[in-house]
Amino acid sequence: MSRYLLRQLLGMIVLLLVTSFVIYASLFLAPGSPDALLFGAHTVSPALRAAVNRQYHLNDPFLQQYWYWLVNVLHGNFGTSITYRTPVALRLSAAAPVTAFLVIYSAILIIVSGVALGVLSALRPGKLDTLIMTATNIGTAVPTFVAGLILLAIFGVKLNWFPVYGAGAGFFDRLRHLTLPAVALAFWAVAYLTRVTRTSMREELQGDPVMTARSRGLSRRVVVQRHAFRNALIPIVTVAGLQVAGLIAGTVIVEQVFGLNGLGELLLTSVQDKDFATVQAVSLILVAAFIVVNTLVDITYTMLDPRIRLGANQS
Amino acid sequence: MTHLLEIDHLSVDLVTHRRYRKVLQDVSITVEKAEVVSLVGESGSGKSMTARSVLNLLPAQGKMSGNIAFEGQSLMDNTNKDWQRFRATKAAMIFQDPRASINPVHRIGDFLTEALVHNRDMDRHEALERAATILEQVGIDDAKRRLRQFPHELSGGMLQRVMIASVLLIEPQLILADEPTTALDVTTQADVIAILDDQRAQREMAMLFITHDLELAAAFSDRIAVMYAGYIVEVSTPAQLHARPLHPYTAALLRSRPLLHERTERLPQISGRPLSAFEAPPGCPFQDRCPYVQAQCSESLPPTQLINGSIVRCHRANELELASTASADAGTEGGQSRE
Amino acid sequence: MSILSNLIAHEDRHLLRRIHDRIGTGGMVAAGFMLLLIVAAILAPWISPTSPNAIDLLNVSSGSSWTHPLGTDNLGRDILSRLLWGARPSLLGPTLVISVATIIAVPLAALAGWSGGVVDQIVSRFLDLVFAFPGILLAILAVTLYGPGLYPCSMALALSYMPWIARVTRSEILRERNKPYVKALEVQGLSGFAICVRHLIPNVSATIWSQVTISFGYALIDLAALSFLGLNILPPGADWGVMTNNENAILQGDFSQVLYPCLLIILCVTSVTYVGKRLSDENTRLLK
Repeated sequence: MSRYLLRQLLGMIVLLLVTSFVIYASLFLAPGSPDALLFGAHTVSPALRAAVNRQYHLNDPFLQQYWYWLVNVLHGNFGTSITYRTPVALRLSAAAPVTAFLVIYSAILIIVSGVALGVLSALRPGKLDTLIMTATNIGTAVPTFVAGLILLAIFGVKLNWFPVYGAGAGFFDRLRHLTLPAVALAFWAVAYLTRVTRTSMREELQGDPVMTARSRGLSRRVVVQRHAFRNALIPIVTVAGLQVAGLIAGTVIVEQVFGLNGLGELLLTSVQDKDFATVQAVSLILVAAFIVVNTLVDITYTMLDPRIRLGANQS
Repeated sequence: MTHLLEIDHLSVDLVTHRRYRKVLQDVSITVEKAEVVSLVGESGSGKSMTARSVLNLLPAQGKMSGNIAFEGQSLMDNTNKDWQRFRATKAAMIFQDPRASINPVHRIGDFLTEALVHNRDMDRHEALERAATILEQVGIDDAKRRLRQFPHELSGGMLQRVMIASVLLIEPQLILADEPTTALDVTTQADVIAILDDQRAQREMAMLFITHDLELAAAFSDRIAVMYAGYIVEVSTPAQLHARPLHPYTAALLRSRPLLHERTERLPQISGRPLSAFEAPPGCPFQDRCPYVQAQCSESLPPTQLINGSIVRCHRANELELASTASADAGTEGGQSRE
Repeated sequence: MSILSNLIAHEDRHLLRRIHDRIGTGGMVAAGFMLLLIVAAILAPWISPTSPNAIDLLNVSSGSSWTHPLGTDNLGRDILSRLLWGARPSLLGPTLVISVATIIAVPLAALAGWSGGVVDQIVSRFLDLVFAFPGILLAILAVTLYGPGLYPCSMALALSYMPWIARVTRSEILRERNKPYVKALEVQGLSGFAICVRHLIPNVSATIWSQVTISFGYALIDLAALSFLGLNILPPGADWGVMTNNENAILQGDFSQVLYPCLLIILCVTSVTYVGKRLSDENTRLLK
């Protein structure tokens, strides 16, 4: 087990390194010289240009430059924003909490309602099931930004229940401000997870282990919990994890719809400002979060399935 | 006299392709205390469904009619709770493929004890102690370690012993064994069957044994019921069945098995294909494949008759002289090639 | 002439029935809807009432009327015309994405699935790497480097969709590869390349098709989102994503301008996803 865990973690670190390299190297894929991209349309003094060249080690060999950058990043130094002339790390630390709050809020919504609706739908065939399935059928076709716009129009503008702009301050105010964005972000994933949960539960309910459990006179509660749900959990966790990891990119869209100053918003303004140091930093954080969540899912998945858990140990 | 299990005129309909289809027709059979009754037939003949009906474990939307009684009490009006109690205490099932039937995510110990813990509120440690004892009785050594293992760490033969142990733990009066050795290696089949029969006999449990293997059934059953297309066509003791089969289908089954002491170029086969109950023509379900078919066979369903203590469902049972081996029965060769 | 038309009609009916067998009545309706949209997109210059950017200052944010069947937006542009013209990039983009993704994914998957061993390992790790970049993020990086537009966005999305198609195809090819007929072909001395091109890929094509169809829907969503973010099609250009980026109208309580492009996107995605799901259901049914 621990050897398996170690291998997963090692794989994650390698993947993180390679992605960081790709993000860094993409700077050099740009047409024109790196410093042209760095400065964009800004006219800068030779002194600043020299300082930036020094900071990015633009005169050193490429791999060495990457190494310096990586070491700095690991120390929490993401360089200086060319446009705003402030440390990128400072801007990140202002934006990250909003995005983190949004992602966690949304993840909770997805997991709780997706699994609950899916299980309900699987256990109660008939009208309720049909209703849930129709809703999720439409739900999976609604893009995140469309969901955001619809929620904004109905609950923000028409009913005026929730604020339409900003992230709020303090826990409860933020909760209120981020409710519509979190629901918009969760919308698609809830629909998808509901379907996966239902299919998975249905399959298990008709499966052999459930038949065995029923043949032993176990109560319906025990059969459903210990056998159907427990076994269905394996695909559910995989999909739920992918959904939550996918949220990280989705925040870019939702933050735009609801005017939130999160990482996504920062990324977009940086792209428009050609503020490459910030683009690099935010991309790196988003990708890293994506990879970490995926690894956590892989580990959870193997905890749930003893066949993989011990199989990896034996081989 | 009350029978332990009495199935009386049982018919079962299942939904396939959105339509009700017959899988069992007018099935009647009894099992006495400590008796072993085998249900023999080809796949689709309804033998598994008969066993499942006893526990009310039909697929969704399945319909039963007729009567099933246990110790003289009808089960047909059972509520869900009654069924749960019945399954938890009176009758238990051994499934065909232990690899599929034993939940792969729980430890062997949890699998063995869950019925005791959840149905009888037994202390977990006590239940584990008992499970270990029974594991040793079914021939699994190092039981304490096995209890902590997961199903995929055990071989198929081992797992089926675990399944047997789980049934013995419940101490039911009736074991329903649904082809318990079909999924196993030939070499372990004999061991597993021997252990099952041995342990069952020690505890005086009755067993309804389902198999497609007539030889196997004959080896340790008290009585054998042969099924075809959802009907029971013959019920007899193994000795009588071998000496004088009464139904042409039984005779054909007996002739189509290889014999150890005889060399044959080609085993006789039964022409045509096995039918399911819903495909069966009006009249005798075996008419299309029967070498002795006559006009009356397609006119009416043969009634069950009692001949020399055996039950048979054939219009011509009284007049036919059937044999159980090909060489002793030259007369049927011509009949078999007839379409 | 009548013989010929009969023959064609007969052939058509045959083909339609074959399609019907695969995707059902619902699938036919969905596919018909998509076909209608494609025709409308091609004919946009001839059938749209006005130019997509013609401004009618007398009718700003108007409801539906004879001159503007679906009304106008807050700049006085005809919504129906913009929807029709917008169908072009909105449908062309996803087509580009899935075409490029499939062209890269299928050979890569065949190579990995057929060779196995080290090659499979390398390809799989490469797919993991690409997989770590969410599509939207790759597109944003592409826009940073090459500026906004349909091509950078489509190519970036194609790259990020590639692993999905490749993974599914690879596992199908792996399964197919172990079948006896493949062994038989190998014994007959057919090269690995020939077996892949002539047997394996055609035999798993049903799975590829369903995956590609479903990906089309996701690509449409992602490209619309990128337009909404101002990275794909830029205003005053029209695609359905751009048309939804009209928060002023929403905040003023006028959702109707945004409603039509939203509905079109949802209908399109529902249609292609439905067809894709039916295709894959049909595959699993045929496999059983």
